[in-house]
Amino acid sequence: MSSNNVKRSSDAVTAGGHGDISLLPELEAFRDPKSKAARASYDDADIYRDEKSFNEHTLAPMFTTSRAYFVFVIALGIVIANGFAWFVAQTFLGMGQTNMHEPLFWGAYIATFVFWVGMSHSGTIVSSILRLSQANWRRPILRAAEAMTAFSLLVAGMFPLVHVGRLWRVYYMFPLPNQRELWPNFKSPLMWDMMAIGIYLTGSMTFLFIGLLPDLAVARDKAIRENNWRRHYLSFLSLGWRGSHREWSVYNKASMFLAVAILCIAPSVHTIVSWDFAMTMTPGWHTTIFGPYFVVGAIYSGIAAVITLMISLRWIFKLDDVIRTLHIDCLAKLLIVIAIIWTYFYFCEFNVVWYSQKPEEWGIWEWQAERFGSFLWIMVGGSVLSIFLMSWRKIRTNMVAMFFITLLVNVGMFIERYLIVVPILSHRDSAYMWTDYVPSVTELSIIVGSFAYFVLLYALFLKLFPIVTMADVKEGVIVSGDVKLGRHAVRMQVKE
Amino acid sequence: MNNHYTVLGLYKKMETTVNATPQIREAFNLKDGEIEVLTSAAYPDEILIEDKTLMYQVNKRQFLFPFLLGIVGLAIGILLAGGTGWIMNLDVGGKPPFALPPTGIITYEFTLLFAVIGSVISLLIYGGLPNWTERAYDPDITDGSLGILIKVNSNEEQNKAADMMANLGAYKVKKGKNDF
Repeated sequence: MSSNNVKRSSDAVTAGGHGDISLLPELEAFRDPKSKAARASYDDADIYRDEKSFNEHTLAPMFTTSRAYFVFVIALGIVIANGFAWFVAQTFLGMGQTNMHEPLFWGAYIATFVFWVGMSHSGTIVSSILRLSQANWRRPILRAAEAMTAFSLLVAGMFPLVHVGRLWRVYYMFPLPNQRELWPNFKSPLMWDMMAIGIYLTGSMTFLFIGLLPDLAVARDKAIRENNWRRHYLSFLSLGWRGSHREWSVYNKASMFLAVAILCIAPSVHTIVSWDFAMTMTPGWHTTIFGPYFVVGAIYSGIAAVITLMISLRWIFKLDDVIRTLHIDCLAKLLIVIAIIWTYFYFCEFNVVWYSQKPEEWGIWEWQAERFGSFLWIMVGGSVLSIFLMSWRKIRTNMVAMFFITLLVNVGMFIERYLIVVPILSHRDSAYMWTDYVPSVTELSIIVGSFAYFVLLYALFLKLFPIVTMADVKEGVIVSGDVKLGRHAVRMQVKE
Repeated sequence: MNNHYTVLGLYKKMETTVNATPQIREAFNLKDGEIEVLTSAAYPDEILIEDKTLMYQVNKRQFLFPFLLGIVGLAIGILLAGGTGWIMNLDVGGKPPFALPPTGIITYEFTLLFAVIGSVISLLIYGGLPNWTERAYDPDITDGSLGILIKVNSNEEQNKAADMMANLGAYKVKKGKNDF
């Protein structure tokens, strides 16, 4: 329905949004945000009594801070400090602090790097797809997903630095002439990787920031009204946003363009990450399926992480009337589809090797089954089990169950990354080179620190910026209205 | 207009705002750029301002920056990946100095990067941002009120406009000078 067809006469469609939502009596039950109907509702209007209370409610995680939050942040800080200390030790004492050795020079660091790049994928991809397809249920959850992308990438970007050991030579990767009188070799997938991740990070940060603009203005006004310390940076970052027609018009166009651009960048990034492996002649890596397999794996773990985060936000900040059962249900359905595609790719890869029994490739699978059998079962079993369990709506709408299922998915996906890197390199060439590898305390401490770093970034973001995409929710309310069809009142939405 | 006066009327309801806008526009013969509607969310274009000729032109031009910068990114990508290989060739598995696949990958990434930068630049330019100066505004707008903001030439017109806005249902009217 084109917005040209919006009727202004009061008898056709009840007035949409902006402080004057009038629901038909049949929908009044939804007005109570704590009611079951509201929590399962498909419409954001049901959490939207009036704009002021909506702003207060959704900005509450930002403006109210409990003592538990500080304790949590300090605990994260300790874990990060521990990881950083081990990293400093590794920098000064050398890569001997890790358990990597000939022929295995890519270990847990690279596996973790791939894991974090993968995690970053879903946030902006989901956000872009839902924006472009105008999926109405997307509205409140976009910011939380986009922030996840930005922070995952920040953490991922740290790992090549940790991995190279000699940090002071990192500038060799930049396209600058140096004392070797050589420019970086752009024929190396590692260079493509560095460029792609840098560009994806820039794009994701931009996407996140542009999406934040109108909500920053809401938070700015609240901070100024309450003389809160946040008013200084919020006034600066909101760029003087007033919500003029001109600003909205330009903003909407820019958001759509950025969504398309991000949608083009994201799959290329993980494809390029997969080429770090696939472009080598190493059996087990040198396969054409790696590009799409990595992209699907990334979206798979990313969506699972988005669900885990959403459920955590619901629990911690009591946002269950904003991030509703509906959102988890819809994301879970999306997760099932992606899980099936990922399992299909995994099976394709396995089946080809199994059928040909090519010694150098089949040997790796045998080695994996022998040395990492339990890991394999957790990874494959986790995926199959999650598909099976999520087929039931009761499970998809059970927050505790979904929290643990999505956690299991990501444990499985971390293992998957580990199994891509470690078994293949520890089983290279001649049998005398085959080796065992268990990450050292240094490696484990840095990896655990990276998880804490991600959580800390997210926790800080929650206190500095609005986590709910308020402007999108408001827009959804404006363009929706109640129409009576037969005996039923139905919420309709105008789509341009 | 070097010296101008502004009036900002705040309305609670969309209907009242939609009814008031054309009347105010007509009464003071306001041209595009002399009237704005401030809201806390995006309304479909034709709902609040019916005559959107200027807005349409701005929107069309908005894609010029991403397009032009995308071309710049494309050139940089080719020069960086292809040119580097051409000038300082490193033989990698017998691949030619100017190898198309790596050049294509880097060029693709740089084109998109520069297009993203271009879209931000056009957002800032055409959206009139950033603007940290004191401008006519009221925090009630982010709490759901709709504001009609106009620019007039004299103090007399300003008072007239304020009265008119109040008569047309504005619950709060603010007057200012040179702060459109």
